[in-house]
Amino acid sequence: MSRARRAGLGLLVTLLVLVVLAGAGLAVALVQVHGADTRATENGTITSPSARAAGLRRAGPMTARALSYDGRHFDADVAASKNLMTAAMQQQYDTSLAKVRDRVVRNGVVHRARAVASSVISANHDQVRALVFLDQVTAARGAPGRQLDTDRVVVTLVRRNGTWLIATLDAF
Amino acid sequence: MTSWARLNVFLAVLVVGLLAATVTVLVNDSRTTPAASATQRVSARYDAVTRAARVEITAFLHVDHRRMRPLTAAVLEGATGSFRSQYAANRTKLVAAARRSRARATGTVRAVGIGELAADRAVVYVAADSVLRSKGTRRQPASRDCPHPGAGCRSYRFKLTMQRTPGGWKLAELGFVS
Repeated sequence: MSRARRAGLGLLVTLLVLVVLAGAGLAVALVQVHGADTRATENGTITSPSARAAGLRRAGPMTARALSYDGRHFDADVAASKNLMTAAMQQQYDTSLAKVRDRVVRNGVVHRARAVASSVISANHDQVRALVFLDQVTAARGAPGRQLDTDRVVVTLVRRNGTWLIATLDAF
Repeated sequence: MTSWARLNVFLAVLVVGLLAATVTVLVNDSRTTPAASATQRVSARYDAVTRAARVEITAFLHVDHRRMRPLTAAVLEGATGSFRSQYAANRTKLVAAARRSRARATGTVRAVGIGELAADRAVVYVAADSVLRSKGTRRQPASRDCPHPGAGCRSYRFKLTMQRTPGGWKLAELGFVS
C-alpha cells in the first residue's frame, strides 16, 4: 500500500469516528432539549403564564354570564351562554336548565350572578382551572324580596381554536 | 480526485454539518431556557403558596377544646404580620371559648386559587368547609345542607394575603369574601 493510500485510509477512519461522535452529540443534545421542553410544558401547576393571565381575566365574567338568566328572554340568554361553552358542557347545561325553564319563564325569574373574586388553581397552554367566588341574586315576579346566595365555583376553561370556552362548572 | 478523497471530503462536510446542527440546537435551547426556567419558578412558587395556604387554613379551622394550646400554636406557626399579632392577642379568649362550649371542628379545604403572585407576596382565595360540634349544636338534626346530626356546617370564602418569610410562605392577613 502506498504512503498516500495509507494516509487516505487513516483520514477516512478518523472522519468516520468523528461522524459517529458528532452524530451522538447531536442526538444527546436533541434528547436533552426535548426533555427540558417536555418538563417545562407538561409538568407543574403553572406551565403557561399567559394562559394563567387569560384565565384570571376571563373566568369570573364567563362564569357569571353562564349562570345568569332572565325569564323574560330566557332562550336568548341560554343561547348566549352556550356560546361560551364546549359542546359537552352545552349538553350538560341544556339538561340542567330544561328542569327549571318552565318555572323560570312562568314566574319571570331573574337570576343574576356576579363574580366577586377570581383566582387560578392551575394553568397550561390550553386549559385553566379557576376558583371563582360568586354572589347570585334571584328575584321573581310578584315575589317579595330577593334571595342572595354566595357560591364557590371551580371552572375549567379550555382553549379551542384560540378561543377560551367553559368545559366544566362545579359549584359547591 | 480519487474515490477515497471524495469520500473523505463528504465525511468532513458531514462532520461539520453535524457539529453545526448540535451548536444550533444548544444555542436555541439556551435562548428558550430562561423563559422555561422562569415559568418553572412561578410554578414552584405557586405550589409552595398553595401548600402553605392549605395547611394554614386547615389548622385555622381545626378546633378541639381538649387540646387548644397545640392547635393554636400550629396556627401561629404558619402566621406572620398582622394576622399573627391579632391571633396571638386573641389566643387566650379563643382557647377559653372553645373549652367553654366544648367545641370540636374540622376543616376541609375544597379549592385554593391564586389571584396575585409576586416574589414575596401572594393573594390567595380558599374555599373551605367545616363541621362544628359544640354544646350549641347537640340538638341539631341532620339536613340536606348539613348531613351531620348534632353538628353545624359552615362554608367559607377566604381571602388570604401570604407573605414570603425566611421560614417559608406564611399567612399575613385573613379576610372573608362576604
